Parts: sequence; structure tokens; C-alpha cells
Amino acid sequence: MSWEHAGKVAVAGIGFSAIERRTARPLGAFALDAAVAAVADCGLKISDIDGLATYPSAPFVGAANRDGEDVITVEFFLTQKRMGEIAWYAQAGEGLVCASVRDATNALLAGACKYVLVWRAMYVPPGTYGSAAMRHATGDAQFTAPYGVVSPLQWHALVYRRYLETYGAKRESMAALVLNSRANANRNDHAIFADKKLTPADYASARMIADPLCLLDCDVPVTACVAMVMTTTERARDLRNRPALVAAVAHQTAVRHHPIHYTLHDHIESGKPFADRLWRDAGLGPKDMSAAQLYDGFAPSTWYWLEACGFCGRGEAHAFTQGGRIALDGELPLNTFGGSLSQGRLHGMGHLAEAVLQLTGRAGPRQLPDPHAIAVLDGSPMLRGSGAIFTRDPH
Amino acid sequence: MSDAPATFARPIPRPDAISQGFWDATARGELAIQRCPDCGNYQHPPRPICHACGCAAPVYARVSGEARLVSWTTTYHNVLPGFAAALPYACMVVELVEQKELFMLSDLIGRAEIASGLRFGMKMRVVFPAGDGEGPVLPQFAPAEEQQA
Repeated sequence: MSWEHAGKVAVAGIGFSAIERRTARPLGAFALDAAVAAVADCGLKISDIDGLATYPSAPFVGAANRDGEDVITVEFFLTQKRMGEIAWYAQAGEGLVCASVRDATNALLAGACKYVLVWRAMYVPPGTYGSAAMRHATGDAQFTAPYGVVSPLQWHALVYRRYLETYGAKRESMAALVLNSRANANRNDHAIFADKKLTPADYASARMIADPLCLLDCDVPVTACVAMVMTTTERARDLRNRPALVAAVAHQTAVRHHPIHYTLHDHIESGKPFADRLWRDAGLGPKDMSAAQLYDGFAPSTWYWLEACGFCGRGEAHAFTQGGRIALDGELPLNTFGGSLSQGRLHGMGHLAEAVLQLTGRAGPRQLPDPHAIAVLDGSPMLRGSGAIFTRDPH
Repeated sequence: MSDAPATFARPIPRPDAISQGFWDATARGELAIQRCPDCGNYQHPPRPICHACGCAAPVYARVSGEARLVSWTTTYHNVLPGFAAALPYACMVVELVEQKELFMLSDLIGRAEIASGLRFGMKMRVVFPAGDGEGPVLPQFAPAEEQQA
């Protein structure tokens, strides 16, 4: 029994700011660029927007959390004088930005507003990324930080080693996924590495960050904003571009085995109930997908999503991703825009935008021939991730 | 640009009402983990209530200090300025023998010879190295065989 609201809400427009590394230009300017572009993509005016939804959290420790500088909260747009009257807004506290697709979908179905601006803005601070001084360790950090373990990259490294051991996988097998993403980014103007090629030798010689994770297994922090406009499918039919329909949207609610992310179970199995809910609500399965945009803040997360979603069996992702299967002309085109690894760290917004661009035939040199359904999974399965399935046509 | 101090400095655990029993035990050279008096569930890091049964009064119970190695990583990237001087450093996750998925961390700073010999599932045992006198005693783990040698 699929979801009664499948296909009733749609993404009507997409807008990208420039994607840069460290920059003197304020993040607020990037956010406005993206918002204006998304609205223009629909043929709307910014004052037509009457709903706001984002996942605003600063993606690094030590943020000033000043609107327009290192975060773009709902408040940022509420206080822009060019905005019209806002009827509804929501800020997601979990699930990354795909959770805002859920929030916007619910609001539109409830009739709370007509046109929702959904965005995610990311900022790269000066200094070493992901490093912040800590004199005292409080709360749960009493049991982690004194050992020098403070970063998600270390949690991921610990679990990734466990994965490799458990399933007899080799870290060298990750090269196929990383190189595939780079090749796709080389066909995407909205990618920090649009013009930068990557070779197998580059991957083999990449420096370690926290072994077995090397530099190229980590996404690249960027300063950028991507926005999209969501509305009802009925309204979207009157706008400039073909819409992409929301067939299902859900967030991860599984019970973790451990409050800190040490277990392979939490990284893989906790994504399964939520992925199953997406399939059930959409009335579709992994084999029905024209492509998958699976979060890759750290490359192993994409392996875990492939398994949690049932694109392949447990422990098989390292083999599944070989031999061109995930290429643009493969059986399951994966992260067709370059992923966070090669487009830049947009916390899932790039994954969402790509699903829409592909389904509406606007993906340029990387356009798939006839895509009709695309799954987007945001965050790592262990986090309070969220996901959506988009379709081209009602079903 | 350097945001790293030249000298090694661990963040100092700041005990609170929930964690005090853990640090009181390490000061005595003992490892104690929060345990529910009703259902017997261990949990770490400690919480105000037992997440297995909801009991609001978990207490600290001494454990054997024996564990198995679950995973490890060597960190090369500076994630904590106080650890920059120790890069690269290994840390590991161990599972206490008392309960499945009852995990603790340890690092191997100053014990690099151990890092090269790690293997999944190897027996570990808690140790209480002398610190620099600042802050609570921080428990660490070492291969159990090595301690017997």
C-alpha cells in the first residue's frame, strides 16, 4: 500500500550559488544568489515565496553562528526586506537538508503555504578544517576527547576498518566509487572539482586522514548555497520547468545500539527500516531506480547506503561498485553529479538538486537517457538521516 | 598558519553528577561502569536513567577491566590542537567482556609499538597510567598478553 500523497508535492526549481573554498565574500551573498536563482528557475519572484525550510546547523565546531557569516537560518530570509509575507517555516534539527524536504512536503500537503524555499548553506572557516581547541571535556566528550577522538572522521574510520575486516573488503576497492564521482563532477559546472581530473594513481597515493580513510574518501568542504522551490504538483504544472514529484519522504528513526557511533550495525542496519519505508511509500523498489544519489560525506557511507537500501546485499557494496556498474551508463548510475566528494560538501543539497535535474532532463552533459525515478539518501545511515524518492511521472 | 600548540595537551575530563562515580573509581585504580540495579544493564557513556528499563537510579559497578579489541584507527589529520604534537596517533575501541557493545576508547600515544601488533578480537585489559597530575585519572587499555609478560 503506497503513500496516499505520493506525487502530490514537487520540486519546481533549483538554484546554485558559486561553489568556492575559503572566500572573503559573505555566505549571505551566496544564499541570496541561490534563492534568487531557484525562484527565477520557476518563473516566480522572491516575494512569491511564503514558506521557508532549512537544516541550518554549522557543519564544523567553533562556529560563530552569525546569520549571513557562517550559517543561514530561517531568520536570515525572514529579515530580508525583499521577501514577501511568510506563512510557514521550519528548521530541521536532524536528518540534514532532506529533512527539510520532508518538512516542506508536510506543510504543502497541509495547505500551510504555497511556495517553499528549501536551502542549505555551507561555509568553510579559516584554519585547519575540523580542528578546534578544547581545554575541558564535558558530557559524553569526557569519554572520547581525552583520547584525541573528537571528529566524525574518526568514528567513520573506526567503523570502516570494522567493515573491511567483517566483509573481507579492501580499502583499494573504494577507488572505483571515488573515481566515478570525480568523472561525473567533470561533467558538472556546479562542482568544485569540475575541471580537476583524478586518476587511480592519485587515489593510491592520497595521504591518510584517519586510516583506513584517506583524503579522497572525505568530502571537500566548500562555501556555497543550493536552494530549491517546492510546491504542490498542481501549482508546479503552471511554472516554467517540468517538476520532479515527491513519491516518498522519510527520516531515520531506528534505535541506535550505542550513543556514540562505534558499531557497524548503527552505520548500516539502522538505515534499513527507514529505506524500507521509502520503498513501501513510493510503491517502488531498488530495481526501479534510474539512479541513486547516496550521501558521501565519507565515501564508506555510500557503501552503507547501498546495502541499507537493498541495492546490493550486506557486505557486497565493495564488490557491487566495481566494473562500471555505477557509471552514468551502468546498471545503477550513482552520485551522477560528483557527490559531496567531488562537487563539494553541501550536506545532501547537491544530491537532491541532481535528482531533480536528472528527472526533468536538465542535467546537461551527464544527463541520463530516460530517468523516471531516483532515490536520494541524506546523511549517514547512523545519523538521523533522511531520504526521498522522486519520480518524473505520477504513478 | 598554525593553530596547534607545540606541547601535547589532552582535554581534561570535567566530572559531573552523572559521571562522578566513573572518575572516583579510576582515582582508586578501578574501572566502574554505570549499571542498572533493576535490570542489570550496563551503559557507557553514563546516562541519568537506564535506557534498557527506564530505572532512574543507575549505580556504578566495578567491572573486570577485561575487553576485546573491536577496531582502531591512526589519526593523521589534526582534529584537536592539543594532540597535534602527537600526530599520527592510534586510538582503539574495545568492548568490555561484561556486555555486548559496551564500548570504551583508548589511545596508544607513547605506546606506538602496540599499534603495529593490533588484531581484531585481541584481549585487552584496563591500565591506569600516571597522568600529569591535572584532572582525573584516565583509564587506557593494553593487550592482556603484554601485561602478563
